[in-house]
Amino acid sequence: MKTIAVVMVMIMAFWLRYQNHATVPLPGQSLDEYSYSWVGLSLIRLGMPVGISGIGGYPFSDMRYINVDRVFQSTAENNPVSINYPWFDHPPLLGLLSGGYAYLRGARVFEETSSWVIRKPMVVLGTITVLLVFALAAVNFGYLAGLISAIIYATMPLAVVGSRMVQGENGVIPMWLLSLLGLSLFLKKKNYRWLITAAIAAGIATLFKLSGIVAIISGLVILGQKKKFKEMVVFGAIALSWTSLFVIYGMVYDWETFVNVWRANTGRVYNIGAAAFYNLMVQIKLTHDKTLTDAWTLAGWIAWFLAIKKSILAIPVVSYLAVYILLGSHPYGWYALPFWPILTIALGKTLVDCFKEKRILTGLLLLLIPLGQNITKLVEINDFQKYATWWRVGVVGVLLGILWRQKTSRVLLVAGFLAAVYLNWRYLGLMNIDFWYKVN
Amino acid sequence: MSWRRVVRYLFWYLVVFYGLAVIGAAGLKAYKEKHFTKEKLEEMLTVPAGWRDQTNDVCKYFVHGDPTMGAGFIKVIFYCNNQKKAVNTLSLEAIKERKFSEIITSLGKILGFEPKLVLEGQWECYVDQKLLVDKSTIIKNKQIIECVRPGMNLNEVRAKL
Repeated sequence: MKTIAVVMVMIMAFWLRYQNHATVPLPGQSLDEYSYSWVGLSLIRLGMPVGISGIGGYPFSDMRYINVDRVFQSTAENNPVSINYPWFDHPPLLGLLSGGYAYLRGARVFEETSSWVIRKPMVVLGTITVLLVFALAAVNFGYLAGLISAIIYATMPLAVVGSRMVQGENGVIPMWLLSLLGLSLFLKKKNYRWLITAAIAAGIATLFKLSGIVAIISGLVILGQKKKFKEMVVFGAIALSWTSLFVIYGMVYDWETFVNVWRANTGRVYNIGAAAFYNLMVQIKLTHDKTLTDAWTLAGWIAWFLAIKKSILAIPVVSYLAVYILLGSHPYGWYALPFWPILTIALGKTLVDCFKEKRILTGLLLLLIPLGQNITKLVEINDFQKYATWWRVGVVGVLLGILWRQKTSRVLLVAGFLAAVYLNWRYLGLMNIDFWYKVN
Repeated sequence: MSWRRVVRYLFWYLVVFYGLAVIGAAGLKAYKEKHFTKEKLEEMLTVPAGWRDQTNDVCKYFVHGDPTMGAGFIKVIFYCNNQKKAVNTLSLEAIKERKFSEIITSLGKILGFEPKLVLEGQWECYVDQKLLVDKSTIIKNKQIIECVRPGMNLNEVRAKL
């Protein structure tokens, strides 16, 4: 029964991610998706990574109109793409995944890396991430916390839409979660196989994107906090050995350009600004021109503040916050994606605690945040007027019910959770290409 | 686990790991030497997708935007019979050859129409109100190429569309 429930959540996660995966977000809203895939495809066909870069440090830039998905008629900005090789903006693992899949599906030229091909591996990776969210939460906080966290992450609109994109963060997240899972199991069972698994996963996270260094940082801090210094050395040495493969890769192709590109990277404009932490809570720019406000993120942050004493929740989020603020650059939504799995686990754990400890008011108020916001997205404010009385009576009734009968109010907490998840489902059901044009 | 055991374990791990990494690096370099050619790269950059819609309608697709790059831009406007026009704006950074024939060939590759449709008599193209007869005319920064069907008056068509 428990396994069946998890399998059903996985099926739901896959289905929600698969729907409109090729069209939402619109192809070309981030040309990075094609760039990664071109790197992989060119590595396979030419043995040379070729991609798009806006960073200095390359000896030349070859400007081209590569009209994949007809982006130059729709979403691409004003200029042709700048092709550079050997391409060193990011490590090549994500490219090998998406470009490799495109190659297996018959792509041989860059224009054949259409979004309906290259996003498919991300849908699978996103679904696996839901399983890892469940596993990490279950190992640390019990089956129910795992299930609730997985359901939230499976249906959270920002996570669903964001996980479709061919972005490095969508490779970092599952590896990071796997590393944290390995560490959790090592600390419980004292079996070194789990420590080594955690270290390798942390290292591989950096081969998707260098911000995956968060997996190494958080792993070292978790072990350090438990005073496991030998294990820190083992973890760090193994993880960093995998990270060093990117340096060796740079040496194989062109060391001078590799160094110059990374020097240029450090000179990027710090566009996230001082309001970065505030924006993480209330407004997520999913692409450069689409803001997808998802109230589950705010509920997740509040739950995290409530659960921050748990180091398995505190350390990863603080570590990634440090990486996020340190690296800065543009406030693109995908840079924030790694926060959501841990915040979802914090929320799942908090809701289960609220249920068990009869802190129903806390739980319901947390759920009211995404519940109310989802209603607003589904029903225009003018149309909502006919439901306003029901809403007023309902919410006041619920609050009074909590004060009067605790037993009843546990049912309300479950009902509130199911309603919030149902509204996620309904909102995602609307999110086709026509709807996406109206998202601001 | 003792520190001695940790050091020994890590030593052998790193020896094996970096041994394999060096072999992998050598293999990668050899693979690149064998497979990379500029011609193959050019093919990957320029050949359109096998499934891409090829069209006879030059107004069906277009390249939008206002390029901001240093070398400037040109526009290619098609005024079609069916009351449609297609305005294409191309950055000169991406145009290797600035001859009119090469620009139309490049545009045809980008959008999916056969360049012969434009270059071999089905369209009359003007630059600065002058009919382009010599297909190897060099097009300069910010010039606008306007193409109409033979027999149509450019000023009248412009006024309508």
